[in-house]
Amino acid sequence: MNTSTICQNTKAALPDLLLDPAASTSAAAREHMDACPGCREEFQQLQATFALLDAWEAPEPSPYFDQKLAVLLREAQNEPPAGWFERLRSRMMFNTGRQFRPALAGALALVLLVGGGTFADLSLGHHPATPQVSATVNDLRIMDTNDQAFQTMDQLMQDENAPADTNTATPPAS
Amino acid sequence: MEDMATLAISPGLLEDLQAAESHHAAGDFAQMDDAVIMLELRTGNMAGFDYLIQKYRKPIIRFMYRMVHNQAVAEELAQEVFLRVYRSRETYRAEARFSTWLYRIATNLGVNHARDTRRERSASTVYLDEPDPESGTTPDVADTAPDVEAKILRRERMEAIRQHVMSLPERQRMAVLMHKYEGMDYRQIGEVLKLSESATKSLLFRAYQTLREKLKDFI
Repeated sequence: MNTSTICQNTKAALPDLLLDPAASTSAAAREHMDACPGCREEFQQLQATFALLDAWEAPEPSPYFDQKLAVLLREAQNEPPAGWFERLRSRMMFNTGRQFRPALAGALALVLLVGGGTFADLSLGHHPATPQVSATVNDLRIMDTNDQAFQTMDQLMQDENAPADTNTATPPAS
Repeated sequence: MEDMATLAISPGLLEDLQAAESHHAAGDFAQMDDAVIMLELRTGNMAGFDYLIQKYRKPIIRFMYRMVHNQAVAEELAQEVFLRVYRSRETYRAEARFSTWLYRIATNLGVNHARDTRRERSASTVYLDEPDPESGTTPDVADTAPDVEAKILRRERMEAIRQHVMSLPERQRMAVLMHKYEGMDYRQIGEVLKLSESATKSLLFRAYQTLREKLKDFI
């Protein structure tokens, strides 16, 4: 493994080194840093930044905090119980949502079922539309039909004008 | 002394405390899981809730202070956190640690407050002849005595840390506040922010790298 790859691996392990020094990934990175000034410097700077953040101090609670909170709690105790909507909202906002997982799974299954069914209907039950026929072709078809009709009528007319073949036959001379 | 003041304001609290003490002696709460104490609040065990307030009020006030940078507002928000905990006692489920749930409420309130006051904060101006609303001190740039210089340097450093932490993206900022100042682990931070452990680790590392770059003049 070349040096740059090892340095990259070490940089990948820096979060654990900085935030969780007991992590199993830290040992190899520490070993590399002993020999690599660049990686060591980067880690030391991160450590120094992490330590510097301690300078940001927060004040102690004021002596009136508990009293004010007691008054507010007293008022809250006298309030009517929270309504259904308020309780649902609170549950949605602050809980992990694990209790909703079965309902969500059911809803997802329903969506898949309905959505999948709709898709199947669209893809399998959908037949291609009859192709549109142009006006010219239509006209030709009408003319063809008319022609056939005229021929049939001519045929019938000829049949009507033709002499009777059996009843009109002349008897042979004796 | 605090108890006397509390009773003077809300004498009815005593009845609740006595009722709650019939469930458990005060010392028992330290042996109990916070989630169990919270579940007992449904049955009216206010003594248990009082124990939870005493246990978490400082961390929550500090957490809020670092979000809003104003003690009075931080305390108001912290009070709101505990009020919401009380009002949500019926919907609380012991599926995560109580502290995770508590910090989720605090985070929501802090983020909402930051969004509501974004315009005010961006318009704020520092006046050198007026005392700082938080520390009560007046910036004194003319006095160059050694201890004053050290104070100015310390103040500058704190201000730089505050500004750069506050200017981190919202999730990175919350993660740093919980990790660095509240001592929470990846898993717990991930539960509050609804992230995986690896995503939390990556988020935190990006935040610390940004801070290293921004704060390099103070290292």
